[in-house]
Amino acid sequence: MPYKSSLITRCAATVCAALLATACSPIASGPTQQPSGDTRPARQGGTLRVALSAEPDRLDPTLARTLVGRTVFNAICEKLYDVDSKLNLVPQLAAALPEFSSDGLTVTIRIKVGLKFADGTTLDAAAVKTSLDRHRTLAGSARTSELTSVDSVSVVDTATVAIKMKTAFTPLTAVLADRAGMIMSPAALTAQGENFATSPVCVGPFKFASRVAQDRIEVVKDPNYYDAAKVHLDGVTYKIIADANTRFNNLRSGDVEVLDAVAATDVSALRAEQSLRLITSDSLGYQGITINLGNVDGVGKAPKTLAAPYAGALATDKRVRKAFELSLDRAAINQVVFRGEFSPACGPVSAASPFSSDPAQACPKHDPNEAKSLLQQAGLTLPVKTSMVIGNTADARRLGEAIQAQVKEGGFELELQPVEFAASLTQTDAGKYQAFQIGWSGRVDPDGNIANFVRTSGSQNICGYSNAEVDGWLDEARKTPDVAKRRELYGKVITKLHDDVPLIYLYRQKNLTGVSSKIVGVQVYGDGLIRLATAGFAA
Amino acid sequence: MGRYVLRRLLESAVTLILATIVVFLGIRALPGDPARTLAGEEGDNPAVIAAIRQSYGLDQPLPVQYVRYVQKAVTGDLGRSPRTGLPVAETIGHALPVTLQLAAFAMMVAILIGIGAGVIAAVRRRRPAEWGANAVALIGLSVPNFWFGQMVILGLAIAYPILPASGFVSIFENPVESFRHLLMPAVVLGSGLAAVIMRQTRSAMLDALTADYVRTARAKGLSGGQVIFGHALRNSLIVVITIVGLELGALISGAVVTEQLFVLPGFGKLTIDAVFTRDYPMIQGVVLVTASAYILINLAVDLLYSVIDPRIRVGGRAL
Amino acid sequence: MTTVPATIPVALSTRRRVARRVLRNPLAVLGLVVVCVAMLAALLADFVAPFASDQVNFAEPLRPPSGTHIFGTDSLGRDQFSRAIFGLRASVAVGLLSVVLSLAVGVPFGLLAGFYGWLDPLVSRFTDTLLAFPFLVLAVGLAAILGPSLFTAVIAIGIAQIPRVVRVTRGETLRLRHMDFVAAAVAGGANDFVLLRRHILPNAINALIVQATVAVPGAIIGEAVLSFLGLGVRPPIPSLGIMLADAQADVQDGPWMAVFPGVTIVILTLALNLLGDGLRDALDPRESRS
Repeated sequence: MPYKSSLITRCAATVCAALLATACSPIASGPTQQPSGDTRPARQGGTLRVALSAEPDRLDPTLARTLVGRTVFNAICEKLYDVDSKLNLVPQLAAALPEFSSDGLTVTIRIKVGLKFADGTTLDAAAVKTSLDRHRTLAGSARTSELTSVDSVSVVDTATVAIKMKTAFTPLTAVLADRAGMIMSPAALTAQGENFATSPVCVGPFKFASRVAQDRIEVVKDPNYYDAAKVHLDGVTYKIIADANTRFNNLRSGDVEVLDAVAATDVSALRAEQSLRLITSDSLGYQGITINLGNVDGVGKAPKTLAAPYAGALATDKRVRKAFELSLDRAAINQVVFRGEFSPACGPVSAASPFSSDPAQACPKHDPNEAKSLLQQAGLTLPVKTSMVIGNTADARRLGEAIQAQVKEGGFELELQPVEFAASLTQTDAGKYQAFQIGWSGRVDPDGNIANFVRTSGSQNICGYSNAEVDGWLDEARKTPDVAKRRELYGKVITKLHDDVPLIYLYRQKNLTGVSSKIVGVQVYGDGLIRLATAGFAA
Repeated sequence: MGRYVLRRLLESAVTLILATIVVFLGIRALPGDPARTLAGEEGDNPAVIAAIRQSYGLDQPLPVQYVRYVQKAVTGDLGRSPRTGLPVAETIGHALPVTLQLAAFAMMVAILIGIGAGVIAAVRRRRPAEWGANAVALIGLSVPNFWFGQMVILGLAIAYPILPASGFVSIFENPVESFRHLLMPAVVLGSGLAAVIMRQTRSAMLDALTADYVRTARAKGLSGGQVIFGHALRNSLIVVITIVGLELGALISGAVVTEQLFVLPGFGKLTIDAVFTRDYPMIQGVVLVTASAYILINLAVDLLYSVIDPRIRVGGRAL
Repeated sequence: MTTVPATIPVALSTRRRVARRVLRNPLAVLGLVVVCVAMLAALLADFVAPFASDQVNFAEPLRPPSGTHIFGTDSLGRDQFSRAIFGLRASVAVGLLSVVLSLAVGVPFGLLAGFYGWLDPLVSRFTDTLLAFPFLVLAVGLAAILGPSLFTAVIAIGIAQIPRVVRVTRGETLRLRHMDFVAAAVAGGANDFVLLRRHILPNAINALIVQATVAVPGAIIGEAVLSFLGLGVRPPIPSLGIMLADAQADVQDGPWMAVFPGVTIVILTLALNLLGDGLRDALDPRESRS
């Protein structure tokens, strides 16, 4: 079939990913742009080697929690919905975007017909229900809080499921564009039960082949995939290389072709290499400083007045928190700690998001003198002593030391408390801290980047922040399907947060992906996942 | 002899049980809830965390947890890692050969350099050769191996890319590539040990060279070489082998930094990652293996020693 | 077997002889001088270092060695030479304190285990258990409990060294308690405490000194390893290990960040080892024979 194959070749590098993401869907709004603008065709075959920055946790969509895990899932487990390069939600396994009833309490999802899981069984509405129910109810499921507003799932016909909601929740589409929307083979679930992670079976361009803990995960092309004709690679090997230097050296030496999470310090060296390309996009997450305002009894509990040794002016007086923020020079931090490769950030919503607005991007200026006068207004003697929990990695230490030096100019004496990661989570959940340098990997829907952190008793509200107005706006935004209305509501929330300063947002990481120029068709969107469905070795 | 063996076996069993209890309680005394750690930066509401705890039996009383663990461990089931969902035994099974190959290679490097330099230092006393040999030992002892590793990577993998900076190839798959990948890590890991072996060889050789039987051998007219290699070195080797045996355990557990630097998916890296992620079954598994290896090697050395030199038994143990 | 000095005055004069022998050994003297200089620099860091260790200068990040910054600057523009001088302080403190800790705990246990046969199995099982543990598991565990700090590093390294101290002390005690002078002291009515304190311990000191000279450089390297893994001193306090760990990210653009602290550690531990060797040779009876 010479005609067909030449068509495939021609379209391969530029639009296949877009076709893949939106294939058979009436919503498709034209091809998305490949960030690199590379138009070379790809040849069939070959195994791509990708270096991951950390070891993924369990390859079970219900139980998985790590960001790197999502990158692997991207190859083997498709979701009901996906995002396109502009972060718009598009159908993937679903045939169309979900239909919300007027009260938002019934959501109807139509799924594509004739899709097959990697084990050859058919994906139908019953399979979707099985997966969604497992996500909601399996003991220890990481998806329960994302799906907490779902009341029940029912099969309407073989290609349609209806979700009954407890309360209206517009971000549901975005939730179903992540792991909660991954559909697992019911046959494999029955056969493997809770050990599904050892050989996951879903729908995807590739299927799981093998995994060696702390070394590699191998996936191979899945002939049962509905778009298998567009998949060029025979397989992908994900190699786990925790050290950034080593990861980069592996890319340079040609031991891997794609590199996840290039260190900011390696970017200039990577750009200098002829044989390498860099794909960048702003991430959806942020890094910042969370301040303990009233977390006494632990995360999720009602805020109270802090006691020693965690009490202090930082917790009680918002002028002090503002002063802290004013003494930070975000541009300088970005420059000295990250070689200017990341973006300074002052709020939880990425500028690339459709939900971004002027209030969402507003930013207090760097002004240490103003900081000092605020502290004096608050009646405090300088320097004001406070402490901050940081991670115990070299990067965290460097960021902490830069912050420490800057707030000194603003009249603070900041003590850094490096705590090993696992211990820091428990410690800060329990409210045993004054400030905590931590970030968030980011979600497509702003609700996932804001609500849990600042809503009264939210599951990640470790600052113990509580404000009825903010709660109200967040709830309203969850019920409104209208993007413009939601944009405005999140703007209000962020303006209020800038006034109360429960969190100080510092910078937004970039998704930095290094790719060998031998490879075409690798795509990375704002969500940072490496998409390889249409990738291949250049012909 | 039989009673001695029996006693040592019993002691070893006690040590092993003690080690498992200590690690079992020790990791549970660490701040950082494994269920919370599993939830990662995302966190989750307390009910979900509690459900995770329950699904791993962490809500049970400690003695119950321990007994369950031992019951399973005796049948060879070390549990599954909550983090990766993979069986602990399988994961260790993948990681251990990496470290064993690295350790064996490092040991060879250490023995070659150590014994060579040790013999030279003992035989050529007060000559430049002794100085050279001593310098090797001193540098081996004085250079932190992660820094040494950084420097050789900088030199031999980046500035002059002769050897691969990282990665592991099994010797059974491709011996040449395996050698290229393991050469730098093995030299880095083996350098400290080479120094220890060099010193032991030197002092054992010095002892031997002044001992009566060597003097006798000399008196009988044997040549210098025959004396050194036929008598003194052979007898010194016993001491060296003891050290080698004892240090093998230390080498395996001490490979952490080397594995970290050269990204070898080995046992040491597994151990550290397991502690950092509060992967209880994995930590218990690796400590069980490390402790068993250490105890077995010790036992073997002691028994060997008591066979070779019965006087040792009076003093209790070697070294 | 050499004759062992029976009473303390003899031991003291032995010490003087040892000191003379050490001073006749040029390498040991070199080691001693370097160690003394390092100790002084560490103690007087505030006066020796041209800059404060935590003084950042965002305008001058990653500068190669120059007249002002002879070791260059790091990514925050801090003077690496000053940090190395202050870093010496942390490294020397960890080195000495952890060895003191291991001696303080290990020596009594070793003495008791060697002296009272019934205690021996108990102490031996304990040390075996400790030895069977991977050192870093212990260190990471302690760091998690206590939080990474200089104190944690001292405790972790100190504990890791206890078993060796116990073994050495126990071995010496076993050897010494069958000596004639001990029997004589027993006949003279000395009680167990006096026996251990005045007769056995002073004569076991030589072996312990040798052990300590190996342990101090080992502990300094141990501190570097712990800091490298993020378990060492608290920022912004520098230690040589922390500096090396910081250098890791900038190895492409600022190799001097890795070279100088590394060389400093090597020189310090080399000097300690030279001094230790000199001491050992001076204490070694073979030396007087040949």
